[in-house]
Amino acid sequence: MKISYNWLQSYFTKKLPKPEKLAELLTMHSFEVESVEKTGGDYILDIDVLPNRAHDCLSHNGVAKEVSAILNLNFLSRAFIDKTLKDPAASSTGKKFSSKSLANVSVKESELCRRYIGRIVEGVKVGSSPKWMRERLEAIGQKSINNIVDATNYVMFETGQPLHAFDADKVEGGIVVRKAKDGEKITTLDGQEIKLDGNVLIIADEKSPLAIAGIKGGKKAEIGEKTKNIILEAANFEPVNIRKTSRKIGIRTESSLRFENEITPKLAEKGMKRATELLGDLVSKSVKVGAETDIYPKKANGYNLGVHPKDVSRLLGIEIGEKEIIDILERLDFGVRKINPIKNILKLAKSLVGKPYKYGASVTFDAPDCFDCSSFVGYVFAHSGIQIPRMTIDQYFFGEAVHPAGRDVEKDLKPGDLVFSNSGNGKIHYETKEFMKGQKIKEGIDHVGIYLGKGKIIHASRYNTDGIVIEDIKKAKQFKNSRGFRRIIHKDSDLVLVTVPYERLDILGREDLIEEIARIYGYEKIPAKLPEEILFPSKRNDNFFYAEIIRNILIGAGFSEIYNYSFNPVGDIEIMNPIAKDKKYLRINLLDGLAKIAKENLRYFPAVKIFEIGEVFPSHGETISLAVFASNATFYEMKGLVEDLLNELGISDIFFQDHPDKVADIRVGNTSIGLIDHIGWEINFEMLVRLATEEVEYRPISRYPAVKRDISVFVPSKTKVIEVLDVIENTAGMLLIDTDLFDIYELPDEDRNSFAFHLIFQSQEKTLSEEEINELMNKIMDALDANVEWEVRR
Amino acid sequence: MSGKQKQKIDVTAPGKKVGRGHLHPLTLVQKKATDIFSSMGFNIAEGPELETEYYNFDALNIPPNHPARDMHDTFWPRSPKQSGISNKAPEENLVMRTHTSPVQIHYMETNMPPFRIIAPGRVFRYEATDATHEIQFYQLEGLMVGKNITLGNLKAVMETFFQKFFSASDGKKVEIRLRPSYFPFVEPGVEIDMKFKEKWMEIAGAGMVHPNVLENVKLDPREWQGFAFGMGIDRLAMIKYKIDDIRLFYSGDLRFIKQF
Repeated sequence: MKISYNWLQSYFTKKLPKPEKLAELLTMHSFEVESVEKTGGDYILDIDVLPNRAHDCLSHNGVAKEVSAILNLNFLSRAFIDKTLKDPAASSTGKKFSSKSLANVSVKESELCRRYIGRIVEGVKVGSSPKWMRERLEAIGQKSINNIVDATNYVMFETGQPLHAFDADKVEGGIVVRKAKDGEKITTLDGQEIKLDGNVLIIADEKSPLAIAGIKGGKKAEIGEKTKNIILEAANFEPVNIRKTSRKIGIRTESSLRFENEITPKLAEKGMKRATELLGDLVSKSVKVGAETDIYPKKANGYNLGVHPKDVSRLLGIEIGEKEIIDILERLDFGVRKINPIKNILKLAKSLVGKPYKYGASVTFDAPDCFDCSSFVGYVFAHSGIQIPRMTIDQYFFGEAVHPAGRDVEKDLKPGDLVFSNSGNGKIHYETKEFMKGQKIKEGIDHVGIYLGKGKIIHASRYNTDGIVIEDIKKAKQFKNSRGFRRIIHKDSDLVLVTVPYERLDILGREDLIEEIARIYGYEKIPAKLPEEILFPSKRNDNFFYAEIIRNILIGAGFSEIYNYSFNPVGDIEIMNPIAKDKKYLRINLLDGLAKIAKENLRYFPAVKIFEIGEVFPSHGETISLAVFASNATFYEMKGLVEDLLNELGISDIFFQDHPDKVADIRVGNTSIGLIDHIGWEINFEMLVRLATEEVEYRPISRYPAVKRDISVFVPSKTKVIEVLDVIENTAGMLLIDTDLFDIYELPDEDRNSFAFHLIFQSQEKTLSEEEINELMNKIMDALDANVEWEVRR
Repeated sequence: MSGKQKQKIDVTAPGKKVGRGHLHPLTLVQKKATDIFSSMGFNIAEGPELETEYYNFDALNIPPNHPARDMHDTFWPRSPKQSGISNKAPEENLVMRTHTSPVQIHYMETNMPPFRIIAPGRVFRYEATDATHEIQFYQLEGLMVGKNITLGNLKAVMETFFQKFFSASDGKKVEIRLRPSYFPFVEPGVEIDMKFKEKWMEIAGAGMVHPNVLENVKLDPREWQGFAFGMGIDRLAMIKYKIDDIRLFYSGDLRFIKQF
């Protein structure tokens, strides 16, 4: 949001701090000012208004209010537009009302159009806007169009309320706010033809669409040079529908931005008054203004919250005095009153006796004209500064149980406690819905009242034509089936009751209030203090622990670590909105990506050795993978690396099995954990972590010498090394401490291979004699020769 | 060593390279960060990169169609049913997680406070890439919940972390500040700036865990409270190593990796 410094200054009689200083104050107390730029005689503050403040601060009014709270400066509710203008407040009061009012307005969709204010202004003269207005609009990057359109825009940037003006003489019949028909079309002000459908809310006349509600005006009733009479609109539209429509038709405007972030319907009256006043002043002295037609079926109640200085210190970790809290809230335009919540509850509740019962009545829209049992309790508590859940069942679980069964009610209960029952009629609830969803009471609850003391209870009774009644708790029909008593207020201390300004739709709970207090007070004044809770030593995360070990082994072996993209041209899981053609799927392995990366790097390096640990997304679900790639490796080098790595991780029982696509399947016990190829391998990292053990058992180093003997054997080419090794190791027993394959070669013109091994013998107990070793070697050779296809070279 | 042997050696000739590999700079930074937090008693938690809409948004107080969702440009994978994924409910909406905050929810659903955790991990944003924007990057999430955890505690933990993380080079005291911001899953919500070359620079988002978030994981907000924070690991690495283009991290270019 671009904010003009001069415009902002016009709300204050006192001189504001310099633009840079003001920007810093706003950044530290309200929202980030991204830049300050000088344009002509003005400075433009570019403010990053986030969704929480988009209800009230996409306007110069809103930002001026922030400035006034931060600096504790008096804020003029209306800007001085220009020194040469007469007091603008006085100028509109003298206007004649036209006999004509906008009689024919029909709002078909009151959920989507929460409020519609329309009025006719007759006798306007379209021309250019005065210099001051053009300057202000242009300073914040808006094009000046004509005095009518500029006035509506100006009011939007001033108050935050979008407005629209139609040429009244181009409107055929009355104004209808309705959903478009499928296939209906509108040509927008900028000449774009938009096809509408049944979900799009439009402003139409009796014949055709005039505007896409809250988003963009249409050509049909455009303000032109010859326009004499206009219809001025200040409305309020439901945010989700605006958001969806705006996305669907691909049009975002300053107006749609404000509606989709939601603004209060109260703002429409402010916008309408201001625009009328400006038009009167700008257009000509002879304009005639019609009365407002205001369609506003569901008026929202003001919102109340309570806060205690203890709540503030508990969350922030600093004591802020009650006086200062009240001062800050008042500077922010909150209504503030100190009350005793219990006294207030009792007084307010009793004052509502006789109000009618309405099932499903809402605290926001129906109170205090009618109530159901939970909205009565909710309303009375909210107006006493205590927020409780909306539904009876949730109110029950929100409170703390009092009055153990079998004791006298009057002794244990305190006035202000809640009394619950199952009236046995209508919808009985057994489980919380909103507050800590899913807590159960099998006896069921559907009714609640407030205990007044001395055995009396007040509640909204649906069986009593009087609605809110006071009854004797022991006689009240609806409380026969009591479900117990709950206490909401534990400490009977005063609190600060706060009425939230109507435009502050972001303030919904006590934490929101505490944030208001904290930011105006200043975060820099909150002292840093390390938590006092007992420090438990942190627990090891196995994935991170073993990833670190693996990384260290691999870099030790000369491999460098790569982070690749999670997206891939092919895969199992498709992205519906891919950013590029080669990123349409989630990767299902790491090795393909490593091969590509290696290829690119081979332009700069003679050989490339890389690895990656990362998430892959095969159709059976996300898992972490580990892959290694070496451009100039052999299968045996890659295999050796797998073996070394697994041994380091304490995984034994590894073997390699032929695989149809790759060279081999890497197996531990009965499970495949990965695949290995000539120049790379990939292993399921999560399985690796599950198999890994840190326990390495120490074997004492023998004090006796080791003896090395060699053996070589011819085998058919289909025979695997492991088969030969198995025979050697199973025959030799404990004295053979290591076997090392040192040579493999194919015999020319024969379908045979030669394997040659070093065999290392050693005992823990003695020096092995020549005879003992020869005996063992003979046993091994005999065992090998026992296989008719094998031949030991003797 | 005899004089004769010594003559054969030219001590000024380059030593023979051992050929050790290199760790990725993001690994180095993650390691340093997790070590610091571990020393403060934080456990490491994890969560999936392929998330559900509920964990990424709804449970974090970002309802459907809320303008706050515009702060997260999202990659939308096809539903489990369309993708044939068997371990997720068939009609759930999937997202590539846009932040590590869903780990907060996973953790709180299965652990009782008090606790302190960090969750480093990869996140995704659907956006045009340039020197400071990538479609994937790493975040480090933090969460501490207890009976009396305050905003003042958050400030101290952040100060301690940044002090340890950045101070080694010049020993100077690291300066941080909190200023108002908005993340729907915290209230109050703050941005944390750090002073870097005489200028304030945004370095983390943080705040006090929103009561709605606690309620969503069935913790009573009247009993429990705490802080959460999130920071960009790529950003920490860029500052630490003076890297000017985020895209280098995912380029696989060994001319880059081998410098670390």
